[in-house]
Amino acid sequence: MALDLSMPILVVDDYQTMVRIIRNLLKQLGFEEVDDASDGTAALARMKGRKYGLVISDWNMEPMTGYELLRHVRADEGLRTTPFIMVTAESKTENVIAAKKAGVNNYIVKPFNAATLKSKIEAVCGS
Amino acid sequence: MAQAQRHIPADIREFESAAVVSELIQIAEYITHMREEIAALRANEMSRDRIPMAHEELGSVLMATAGATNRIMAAAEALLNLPEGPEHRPALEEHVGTIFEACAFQDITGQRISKVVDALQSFEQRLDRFIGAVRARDAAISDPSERARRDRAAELMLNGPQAEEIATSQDDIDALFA
Repeated sequence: MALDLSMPILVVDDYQTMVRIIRNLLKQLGFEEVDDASDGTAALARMKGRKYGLVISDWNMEPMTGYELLRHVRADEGLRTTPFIMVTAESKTENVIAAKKAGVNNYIVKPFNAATLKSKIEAVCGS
Repeated sequence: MAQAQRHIPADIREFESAAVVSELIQIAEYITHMREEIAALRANEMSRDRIPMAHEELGSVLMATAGATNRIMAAAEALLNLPEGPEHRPALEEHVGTIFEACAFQDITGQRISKVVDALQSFEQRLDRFIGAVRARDAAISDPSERARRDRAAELMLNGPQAEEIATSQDDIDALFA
């Protein structure tokens, strides 16, 4: 499945090690344009300044969670079509259903592997 | 009052006095028992020594795991960027060695976590005994910050990682998105 490897990706996680892991995995997949933010508020600020082809976000962050970020993005006329993947340790079914209702495109439970990340990106962004 | 008591027969007054004395003795015994149970909690030892120790040990575990993770990731990133050539093999061995060394954190952190688990088991035993002795019941949460934290967690579904046996698997999640 063809992926646009030049598309900018925003990784949102308050845990810098996880940002680094996802960055490296994305780099191995061929993505070079990767920005990061440490919570939903910082992510929204970045999204106002740059159009991203994909957002990969954690759920549990302060002060704005990934779930709140998702709802903000889907409510914003200029951002609502941005593909959004949740990558989180929140593995209760109620979380998955809530995220799906809020408009998430895919959902990955931590810990995950490169193959899972790749398949979800392909499913969401592949043309 | 004194006039009213004069009309109570002496045998009844004696009986009532004995009952009051008996009740006071029971209350005194209960207070003594409570003081023993409170002393058995060793609350000062908990707050002065063992809780700070648990904080310190967990903080050290956090630092050790973060440090080890960073060393392992830096070595892995360096491996990915190793140039081909005669220096490839020695450089590879050096970075792999770094990864092995960094993995030693598991032994130390395991020992630190065991100390914290021991402390928690000790708290649990003491609290269980105390709860049984005083037949304690939980009151509503009165701390506003604790209530706010719980409300936020409930509203935003901050459930955290689930136990492996009850967590939703990636396959089940994928089925929801199929």
